[in-house]
Amino acid sequence: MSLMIKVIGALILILSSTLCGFYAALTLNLRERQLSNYKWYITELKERIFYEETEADPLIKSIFGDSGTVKRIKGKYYISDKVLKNRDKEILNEFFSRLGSSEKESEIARAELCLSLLEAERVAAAKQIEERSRLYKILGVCAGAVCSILLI
Amino acid sequence: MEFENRFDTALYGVPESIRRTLLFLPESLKNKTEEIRLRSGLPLTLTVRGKTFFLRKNGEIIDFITRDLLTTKKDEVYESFKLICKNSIYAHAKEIKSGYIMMRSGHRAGICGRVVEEGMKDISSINIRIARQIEGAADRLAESFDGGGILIAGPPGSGKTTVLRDLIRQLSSGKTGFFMRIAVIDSRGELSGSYEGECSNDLGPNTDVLLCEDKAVGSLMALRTMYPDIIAFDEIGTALELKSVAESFNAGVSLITTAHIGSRDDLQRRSVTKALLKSGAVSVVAVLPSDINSEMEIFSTEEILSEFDD
Repeated sequence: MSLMIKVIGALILILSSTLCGFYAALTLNLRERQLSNYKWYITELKERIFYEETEADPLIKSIFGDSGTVKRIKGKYYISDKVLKNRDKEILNEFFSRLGSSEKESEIARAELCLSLLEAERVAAAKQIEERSRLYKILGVCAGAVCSILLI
Repeated sequence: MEFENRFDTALYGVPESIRRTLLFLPESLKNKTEEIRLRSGLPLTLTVRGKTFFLRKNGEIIDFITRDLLTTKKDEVYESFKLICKNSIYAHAKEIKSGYIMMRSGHRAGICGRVVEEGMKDISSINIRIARQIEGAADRLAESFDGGGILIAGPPGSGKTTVLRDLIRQLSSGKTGFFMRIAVIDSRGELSGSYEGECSNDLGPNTDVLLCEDKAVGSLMALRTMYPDIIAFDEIGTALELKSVAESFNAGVSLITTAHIGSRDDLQRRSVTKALLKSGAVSVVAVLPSDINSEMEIFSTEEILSEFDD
């Protein structure tokens, strides 16, 4: 009976540790995917500013909807996204906080700068996935196994 | 919308720090205020029935300069500019290049700054002109309507646009016995108070509004597609507009328009008004005085032409 409890305990430990490892790997994937999404949003924004000259409020609403990702504080827009790192938010907030404060050509130029910076971060994120995703998963399983051996 | 609320509807273009003071002005003053002017580093001014007033920091209105006047900072002028553009300066580039931005409810903000190729930078002053529709302003003129064209002439600020707007409304509403089909060529959205497809001014039930910067092109477009009885636009000033008037006149369409003049003699001195009167496209001329409390004078074109030297 006590052996069975130990086995179940060990399995729970390994499972939870594995899940942690997989979650860490998933976070890396989510960040890369979210950066790609923001690239798409900003490209869409850039084109609609260029061709339609739509005002910022309806533009943000039509692209981001009511997701709560883009918040408006004292007349400026800011990104609120838990998946992104501080550097990613810095790049996006630099663009969004100044959205609407200059003429078309400047807006397009800033959008292109933001896109190029985001692309650099996305490439780095993709490289991280390649290097670390498998590592985190294996570490998760192994950590669980080691813990269960030591404790049980 | 009632005129009494018009002042408050223009305040979204004023920074919060100043808006609070303006909101608490007496209603009687708000009803008469024509302009709110913000100038970088200078006292805020209100134009009330043509006269300039200043605002003290405690909210008191005075007509002389003191040390404790409410002054607009440079940041506040820029903030006002952004508020008027609804934080989308790029979306108003064409208007900014022309020196103005149309606001909600038909108000218009004139802007001053440094003109550059892309538009305007270093905004130093903003003049929020409060749109108002005065029903009855064109009563006498509507009675004089004989099916021919009408020219409304006067100095700046004499109320030409207000009279034109009311005349359009009255003729479109059948006040002269017929519901005239009127095509309004509104180059700045000021006549109709158009904003995002909605007209905040009442131009009558039988009026079509064409928002077109080029009034000559707009007139010909309206002539060919809307089959109007009357074409109306504000401020005739170019030879091309005269040409479009001639084409409309030849097609049997009457014209109602306005023209800037300093005095009645300018009707002859200005080549556009002289040519317009001689063309026969207008049969009635209304001359508005600079003092808005005085009555307009209405003449037939023959009377005016008889005063011309040639």
